[in-house]
Amino acid sequence: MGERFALSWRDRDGLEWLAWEGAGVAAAFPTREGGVSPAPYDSLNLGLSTGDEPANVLENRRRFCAAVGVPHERLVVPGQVHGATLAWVGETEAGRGAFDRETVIHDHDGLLTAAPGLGLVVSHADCVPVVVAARGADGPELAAVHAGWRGMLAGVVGQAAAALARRGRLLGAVVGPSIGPCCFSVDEELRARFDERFPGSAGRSTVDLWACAARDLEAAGLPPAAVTVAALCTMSDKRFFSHRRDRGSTGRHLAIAWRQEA
Amino acid sequence: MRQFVPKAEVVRERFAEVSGRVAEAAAAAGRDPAEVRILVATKYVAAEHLGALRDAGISLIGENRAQDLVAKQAMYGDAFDYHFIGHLQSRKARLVVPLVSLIHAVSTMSVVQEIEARAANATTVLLEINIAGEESKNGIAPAAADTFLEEAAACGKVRFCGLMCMPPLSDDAETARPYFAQTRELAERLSSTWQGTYTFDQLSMGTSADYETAAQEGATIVRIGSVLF
Repeated sequence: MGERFALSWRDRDGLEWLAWEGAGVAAAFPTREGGVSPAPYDSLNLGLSTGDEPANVLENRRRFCAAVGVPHERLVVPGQVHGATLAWVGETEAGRGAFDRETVIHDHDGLLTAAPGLGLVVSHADCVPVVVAARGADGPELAAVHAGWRGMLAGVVGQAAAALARRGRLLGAVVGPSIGPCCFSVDEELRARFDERFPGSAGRSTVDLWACAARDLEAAGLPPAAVTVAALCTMSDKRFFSHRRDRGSTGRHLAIAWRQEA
Repeated sequence: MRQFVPKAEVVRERFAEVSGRVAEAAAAAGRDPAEVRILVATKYVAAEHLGALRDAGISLIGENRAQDLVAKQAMYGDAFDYHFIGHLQSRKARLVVPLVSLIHAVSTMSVVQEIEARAANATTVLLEINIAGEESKNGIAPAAADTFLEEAAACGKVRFCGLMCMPPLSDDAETARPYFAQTRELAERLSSTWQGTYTFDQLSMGTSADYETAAQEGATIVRIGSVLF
């Protein structure tokens, strides 16, 4: 039967994050608390592609990695472009983008790995971070995906799950804090595109990205009960950075997902 | 599946905010704020996370599914006052009746009869009214309420004490106002028609999206969920 995944709040040294764990895979979704950055990046800004001082961001990353227990030098950071390109990463990629912008895995919105202890990263502040866990031939495997509305329409979530499903058995997935159906207002043209691609996902002038992600995960083979939607809206909940609410001038969260030691 | 993972201090703060707004709305309508209870809908809160609500000082919770209610009541016992706010299936009445102090959404005779058969004592329930005549919703049409109650009156343990309604979903809380008002007017009328048999002084209406409007229009129980988490 299904593996049991748990979602819970954790905190350490002034940082707090939503933890998702099960089947040898873990993910951490931080709030903005506990960092050193000044407004408007206050305070745990983990994104280097902002106007914040890189030294602040690196200190924040150091703190967050220490709190969740993933070595900073083992992060793998994608250079996200709102696309649907995925990459399998392993030991060779450990540390790419962890300390600078130049060495990120360019032009990718989803990373997959079977390597233990490698921290796959999704940078987000309204976009939807999704982590998928599977059992492969040699143990747990996972995907960490960045899906804004473009990536969602392009099917990046489903493609990541399908890539895992081709090698093993899908076990569970979590949709992290991101802009909710309460706040994601769209124009008529975009509403219509979503309604066509994900029937029923659009309200009168809003779209439920969480439901879209869940839909594609289920289409890839996950049972509905194995898909957990954290139901935390970054725009309406001030514990999070929100690109829309803060009109672009804000920090970034890094969701980190990893295979626990075998 | 959507899941709320409450943090006690966050819920406490937001509950205080909601309570303040409810009190203001009630006072603005010339009502005693103490007449409005705030029920926390816990459908999307796993049993293991309810402790945070208890720690936040929440005392009244509403469940939608019989199995969840049973599991949560087994874990938390008297820490909460439990209401059933979902669509009750008659075969689940047996589980629900002993655990709750109020069943919000009764609208079929089979459920009335099942409660009658399973209840040891008088059981208080609300009549669910389909106030906007929506095909997709449960509930009795306002015009059919008396006929339904006449039939239900044969089941003496089932005590109607008010109405529950769910107006159409809308982005604008004002859209719900006329439906809340009509529900209150219906309750006032039923109170006099059924005096001596039933009371209709409880009005369960209003959710996270429109609870202030509901409090202004006479709600005695508002059902709050997402805004607290």
